[in-house]
Amino acid sequence: MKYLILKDLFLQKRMLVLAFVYVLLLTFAFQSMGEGQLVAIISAVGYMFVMLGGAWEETNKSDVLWNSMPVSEWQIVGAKYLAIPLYVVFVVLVYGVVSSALSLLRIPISAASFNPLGIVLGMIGVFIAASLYYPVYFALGYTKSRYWHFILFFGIIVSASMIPALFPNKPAWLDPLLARIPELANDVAVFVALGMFVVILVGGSFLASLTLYRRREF
Amino acid sequence: METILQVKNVVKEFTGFKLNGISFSLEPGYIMGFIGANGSGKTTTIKLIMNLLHLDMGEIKVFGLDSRKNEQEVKQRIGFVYDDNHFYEELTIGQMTKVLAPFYKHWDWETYNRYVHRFALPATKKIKTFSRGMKMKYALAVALSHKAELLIMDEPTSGLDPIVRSELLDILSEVIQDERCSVLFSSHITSDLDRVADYVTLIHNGNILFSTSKEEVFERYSLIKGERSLLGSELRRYLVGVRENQFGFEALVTDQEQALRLTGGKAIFERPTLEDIMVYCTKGQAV
Amino acid sequence: MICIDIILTNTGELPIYQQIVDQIKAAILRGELGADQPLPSIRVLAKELQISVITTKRAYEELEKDGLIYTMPGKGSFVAKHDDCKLEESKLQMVEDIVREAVKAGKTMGLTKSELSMIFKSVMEDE
Repeated sequence: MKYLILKDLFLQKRMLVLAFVYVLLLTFAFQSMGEGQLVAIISAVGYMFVMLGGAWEETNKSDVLWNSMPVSEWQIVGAKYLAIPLYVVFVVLVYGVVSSALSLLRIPISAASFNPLGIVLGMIGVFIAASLYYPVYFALGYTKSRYWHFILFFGIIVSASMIPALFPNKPAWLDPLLARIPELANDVAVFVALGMFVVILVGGSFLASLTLYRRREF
Repeated sequence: METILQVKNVVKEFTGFKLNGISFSLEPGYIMGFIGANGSGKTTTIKLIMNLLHLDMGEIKVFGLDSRKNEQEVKQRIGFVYDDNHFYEELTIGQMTKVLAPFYKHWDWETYNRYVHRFALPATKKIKTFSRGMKMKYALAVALSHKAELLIMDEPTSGLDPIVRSELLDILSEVIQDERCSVLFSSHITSDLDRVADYVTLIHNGNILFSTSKEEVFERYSLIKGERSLLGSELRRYLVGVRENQFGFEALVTDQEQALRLTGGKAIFERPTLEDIMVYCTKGQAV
Repeated sequence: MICIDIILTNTGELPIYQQIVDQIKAAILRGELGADQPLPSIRVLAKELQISVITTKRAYEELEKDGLIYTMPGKGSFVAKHDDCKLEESKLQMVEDIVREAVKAGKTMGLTKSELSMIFKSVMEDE
């Protein structure tokens, strides 16, 4: 199965330029988000790679290839889910380069600095988005699931950028809450709860994707 | 040795097309030509064998195993070459093969490299730069490098020049030098199969018109040509798919002796090509 | 290994397996193939002549039926031992069969005995 993921990496190398452009654009767009900026960028661009991965398969009609080979459906579906952390690493690296370049060139776009929490939350963001996207993708194929993809994608961007607008006058309870997040991060119980939620969501999504993919005809 | 491929009463229905309970089988050590017009059901049948489409009814057994229940084991032993290219165009064959090889238990790098060398395939150019013939050769190299016992080819030669087609046929003859291996070769270019096919299965509109050895096909059918005046109703009983024009008629005849007698030696008899047989048989089916 | 030529034609009346039978038979009768000499396997022959394995199989089966070759399972086919009298007999029989076919064909087309005789004589003179 690692070779299925390897294949995804071969292909994503091509998307380097696009990744840089997107990261730059979203860094600019999410400037006002403060700490949330990193999370939003990783979620959005990571999810974009998820979708691009699907597009590659479609242009090459590779479903016919993989389903003619001795590869099981759960390997094909599983590889797509397991590729997500790798996409995130990719985005993080690109963001690192972009934010360094911005500060070195003294371009006045604020870019949040790295923090492990941001990266983890970003990864969770991608997993959540992918969990919603993949079942539709595996059921219908890339072309037919495009509408659903765009709804999800803009949903993330719009809701992420709407956060400052929704709370123009930071409500009294928000600051203390935000202040408590680093604290919460150290609270194992919260982490475990969040972790379990993600595992259940991703697991459920994987099972749904698998069942739907098994029914597909090529 | 057991039958390598057995298709039994397979039914598959789409809007506007139906495979009507087709059956045929292939023994190890032979090449079967699967012929028929475009849209007759060849690709559908092959996709059903590969489980890319799901059967409505019927059974397909490969190497004696059920094609659905033992899908992984079956696919380990099948090499496939399709009409379209399904490899990642952005990759080189080096990268593509690195991704494919690990899935085959009996992958043989030596054999693969030999074929790549023999076909002169560039190792560092992206697959999208390959000509159609080179893409087919790459698919063939992969298909022949994991000790596959059944080679399934769906229109592999369409769009290729005669030289490449001839090279392919030579390789198929080499493949069946090993008596355990068989080839299922679907094509509407019957001249390819005229030469090397051992068995011929003709499909038309989702029905198998015949599935038998090429020897038998040519024994069964002759091409008859003659003046239109010879076309009596008695003669017509032995004819398949008559083609009449201003100057005479041409048809496939199923009993040459009778036809000889009925035409009193005034007609010409010739050995038909598979193309003639395909054209006249399907013509004969059309009402 | 066998070193005779087998030349096939697609444009004649004769089915391919029969052409192979005739040519190998002729080579044996001419003495070009000796007793116990190995013949190519049906698959190698099929590949070289670019024809179906079933055809070569059939040809070998015919030759075996006529007692001209014998097959050892797992080892292949070999030219059978033959004595010279039988050889002569076979030669004559072979030609007689061909002439019989010609006469049959002629009769079907309605030629008379004297017409057939004339054809035979003129062909003999030509050759």
